[in-house]
This record gives sequence, C-alpha cells and structure tokens, in this order.
Amino acid sequence: MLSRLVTPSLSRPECPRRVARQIDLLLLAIEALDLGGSEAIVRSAKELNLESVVHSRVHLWRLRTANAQRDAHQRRSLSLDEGKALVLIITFLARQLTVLVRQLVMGRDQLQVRGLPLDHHFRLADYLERFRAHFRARMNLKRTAVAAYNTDEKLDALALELLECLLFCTGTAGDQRLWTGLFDGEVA
Amino acid sequence: MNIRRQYSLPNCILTLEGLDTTGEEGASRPCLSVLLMARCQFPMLGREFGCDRDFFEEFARTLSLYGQQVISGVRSPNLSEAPDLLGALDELDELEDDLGSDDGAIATQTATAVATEQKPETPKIDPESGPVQVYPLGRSNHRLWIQPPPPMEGQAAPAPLDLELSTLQLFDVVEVVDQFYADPRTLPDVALGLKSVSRRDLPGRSAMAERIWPAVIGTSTLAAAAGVMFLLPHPETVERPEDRVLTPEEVDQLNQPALSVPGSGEPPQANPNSSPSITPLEAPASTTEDGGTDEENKTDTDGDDNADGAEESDQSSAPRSTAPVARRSHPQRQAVSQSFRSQAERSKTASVPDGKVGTFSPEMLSQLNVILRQSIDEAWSDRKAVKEDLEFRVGVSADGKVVGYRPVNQPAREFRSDRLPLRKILFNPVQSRGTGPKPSESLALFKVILTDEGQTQVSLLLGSDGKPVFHPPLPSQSSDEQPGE
Repeated sequence: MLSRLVTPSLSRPECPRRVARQIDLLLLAIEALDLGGSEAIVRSAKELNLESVVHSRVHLWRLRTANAQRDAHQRRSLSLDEGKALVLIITFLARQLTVLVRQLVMGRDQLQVRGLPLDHHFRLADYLERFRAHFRARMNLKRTAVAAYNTDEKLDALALELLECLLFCTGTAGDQRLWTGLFDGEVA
Repeated sequence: MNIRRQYSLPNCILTLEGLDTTGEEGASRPCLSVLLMARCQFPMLGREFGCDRDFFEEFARTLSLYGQQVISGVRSPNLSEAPDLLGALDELDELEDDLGSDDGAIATQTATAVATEQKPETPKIDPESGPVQVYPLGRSNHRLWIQPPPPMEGQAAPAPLDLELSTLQLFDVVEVVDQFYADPRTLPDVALGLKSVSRRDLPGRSAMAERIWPAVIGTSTLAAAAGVMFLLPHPETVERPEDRVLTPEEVDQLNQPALSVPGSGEPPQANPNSSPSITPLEAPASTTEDGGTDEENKTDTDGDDNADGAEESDQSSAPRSTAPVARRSHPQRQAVSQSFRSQAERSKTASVPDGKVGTFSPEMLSQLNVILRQSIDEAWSDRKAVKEDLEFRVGVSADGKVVGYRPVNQPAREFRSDRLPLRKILFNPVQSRGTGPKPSESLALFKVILTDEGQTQVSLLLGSDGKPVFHPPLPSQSSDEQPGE
C-alpha cells in the first residue's frame, strides 16, 4: 500500500517539519468535518492494512505530536513511512467525506459571490467553529507561528485552505497529489 | 471501429475518440491507443473546445501541474510564469465582452465574481507563453486560458477560451484529467508524472540568490582591497597642509624688526621699509627659491656689481649673507629689504610637520639648546646690568652658531647691545669666511630670556600648533661670497 507513494529524495530520510505540520492540520480538519473523526482515523488504518505503522490511538497521537506547533510536541520526527500512512488515511477519509467537502466548498463560493459572511452557511460555520476549537485546544499558542493565527478570520482562512486541499485529496490520484505536493520545495 | 471514452464530472466532461491499434482480441474493454479527437466541455460555463492529441496532452499536463500547485502553493517551474497585473483592467474588459457575447448559459456566478472582487487581480495573458495557461485569481478562483488549435490545417484557429473557474470547477477539470491518466485502457503510453518541485526551483530562492550576488561581490571586493591596503607600509611622516592663512598677529610679526645682524650698528627700527633687518621669521623653505629669483631681478636693476652675483646667489647661504646685507649701500639694502618683505608676504607658514626639517632632528635641537645656553652663560659677564627680563628670539644654525637675534620685549630693545652676551657669541661671517652655515640651510629658532636674577632661560620657539618654528634659509643675494663684497 505504501509503495503507491514515491519516496522523495531528501537529505534526511524523514518528513520535514512543514510536512508533519501539514499532515496534522489535515487530520485536524477531518476531525472538524466528522464528529467521530479521530475514531475513524484509527479505524481506517486497519481498513487500509496500515496497522503496522498506525497501530493504536495513542500511537496515532504520538505521530501527530511530530507537528512542532503542537502543545504536546515531542522532539521526534515523522518517518517517511509514517507520513505515507497518514497521507493514505487522509485521502481515504477525504473520499468518504467527498459529498460534504464539495458542499462546503460550493457553499463557500456561493457566499463569496453574494458577499455574505461565512456563518450564513450553517454546515460551513459548524466546520469552521470546530476547527478553531480544535486548533486552539491542541496547538501551542505561545509559538510565534501559531500566535499568527490570533483571530477567527485567520483561522477560518486556514480551515478553508485545508478544505480545498481535502477536496483535491478526494480525487482519483488524490493521495499521490497530496504526497507529492507536501514535498514541493523540500526535495533537492 | 472508433472507440469513444467519456469522463464526466459536474463541471467538466472530457470525451476522447480514437482507435484500438493493439489488436487485442476478446478484451472486455478495448484499448484506446490512438487518439483522433478530444473534446472538453465546461457545462456550467457553456464552453467547450476540441483538439488533437498533442494539444490534449499539453492541456492535461498543465492542469495536472496546476492541481499540484493548489495543494502545495508552490508553482511548478514547468508552468508558464504568472503574468504581472499590469493591464489587468484592459484584459478584464475584453474578458467581460467575451463572456457577454456568448449565450446566456454562461455562468452568472462566475461573471459576478469577476465583476466584484476579482477585478483588480485579473492578470494579462501573454499568448506566447503557451496554448494552455492557468493562474490563480484571488483567494479561491482560477483563470484558465485556452487557445485551441485550428480544427483543420490551413483553417483559422478558433477564439481562445478565457474561463474563470472556482476551486470546485477547477477540481473537476483536474479530476477529469486524473481519471483519464488513471485509465489503463486509454492512451496507456501517457502517464501521470507527478514530481515534487525542487528546492532549487523555488522562485523565492532564485530571487534571493540574485539579490545576494551584489552583496557578495561588494564584500569580497572590500576584503580584497583591505588585504592590499594591509600590505602597504604605514606612513612615517604625515605632512600637514602647507598653505596657511596668516593671522593678524603673524602679519604684525612680519612687520616687526627682524633679527639684528652683526655689523649693522643700527638699532632695530620699527619701519619695515627702511629697516635693514630682514627676517620674515615664518616663511616656508619652499618659497625661498622663488624669492631669490625675484630678488635677483631687483638687485640686477639696482646693483652695479652683482651681475654675476645673481648666479652665485643660489649657492650662497642665507645666514652668512646677513652681515653683508647690512653693510650694503642704502639703495641695495632697501631693495633687498623689499624683496624679503615680498617673500614674507608670499610665505604662509613655517610650521614644521614633525619637528624635523632640513638638518634638524629633535635630538639636535636639544643639543643646540644646551650649547646655546652654555655659550650665553660663558659670554654673559655683566649680569647685574640686567634689571628686567630680556627676551630675545635667536636663530641658531645647524652647527651651533648664533647667526642672529631679535629683541622681543621692550626692555630687550632698549638694552645696550654692546653689553649683550648674545652680541659676543654672534657668528661673524666676515671673520669666519667659509666656515659658516651651508647655503640654503634653515635656522633653528630659540627663545632666550635673560632674567633680572642673572639666569639664562633657553627654550625652543614653538609655533601656534605646538611645533618648533624654523627660520627659512635667507636669500643668497645677501651672501658674503658675492663678487665685490
């Protein structure tokens, strides 16, 4: 399953910090989309036969703490296999959420065309609110990079970016696109 | 038999028609290995275009690369560079005309979006950059510009498509292309070649490298120049500027009576025009030659016997010349005095850069100081005659001879000169012909005070800058070696 994704040529065989951060944020967006997201992540690892890489909920949490912006950040990096497994889980879950993701993206576009605020779309506002709550609960707000998202507007913009990314993850080659895109500007 | 494949999504329908040339018999799904025609429709926008295989591959490649850009935010170097925003409004007008000329099926949603928030960001398309171009337009829209090829060779190319796509519409286009790539039975020799953008290809990085170059060149040049300068020796003497504007006090000094000369027998006079005393005390050595030349001319006109003297004058010594000058006839003396005065007016300064001029070194000056004081002490017999401090300015040659002196304060002027110890030790060039100071030699100037207590105080005369002051060589016309003297 992991061989579906090409191993990038890096100076160190591990996921760069930016990649670990982006993977964790995408999982955070999935959790904001789906109330049972965290359970679904562990469950999908079994369905995808990735238990050797993501074998428990605690282990999943440890993998996600590779994100340096996390409050519970541990000084460990994400291996490439762990990164691949999480990307496959993300795209797997994103495909399951295809209808919802398309609805939210389309709703965002319609609100923009009409010049209406984002909270006029109930489902979209729900997603944004949950994402903000997850982000503020789990990220280390004292870090400069995190403190930059000090307003609801900035966090909403981040959540919408992640939503667009998840939209492209729902595609036929979503996993390859996400995996390749994560390493844009990182490979030699 | 023609094979027709259709990949359909709400915002984009891709139809491919081609032939199976693999010759596989009995396959459940024939392989479309030769593409005859491709047609791409945008139902929500009411636009479509048809193309051949080459154009379709370019279209698919461009959309695939741009889809990756949407995910990562990094533009692939294989995509044409984003155009600048200049001329965006002109392009927008054309775009709106283009949209308005089509039927009403054009998505009002997109048109409205263009008319509202995306207006200032509409980039100008350069057709030379490629037949398929796609750029981000604002935060959540994209501009897809397509110039389809002519349907048949020799025919005119159709009008380009200029589409405003929302993210969802763009995703459908990319997804249609991905479905085509993922289909192993359609053009199996074309594959989705996703590849991460290299760190070297980041636009910001190359720009940074270009920006760093001038700084690197400048710093290295500075380092090289510093290295070269480090090899140069330190300057041993730092010369001060020679031209200095005379202060009023110095002008007065020049107008005062100069050093008394032996044999003159005349008390110093206040009137410089008639004074035989000659010394512009502060005159640079460098002006001496010019002064001498002027003097030559003047003495030539006045003189009766110094036609040859002008030639010899360059070799004659200034200090030695003082006595003969004083003994000259009145017209001669006046001419010489005038020439000295003109020299003094031209001269600006005699301050010495570092205490060493001509033959004088600091050690020598201290020796001369001792010699002068001892000479005065030995020659000063009648010390009780001095009732008040007498101050003199004394010129001493390099060999320690007192060549001249000048009273500075009023008691000194009024003191009887025949009782002065300085008078006794004054160098007489007539008596010591040929042994006097060398020509064009400067004199060291000392301040000598004969106190009323019978003590002798000798110190170097210091200029306003704290440096020793020297007397320039006297002009050679006054040399005692002149013919006729």
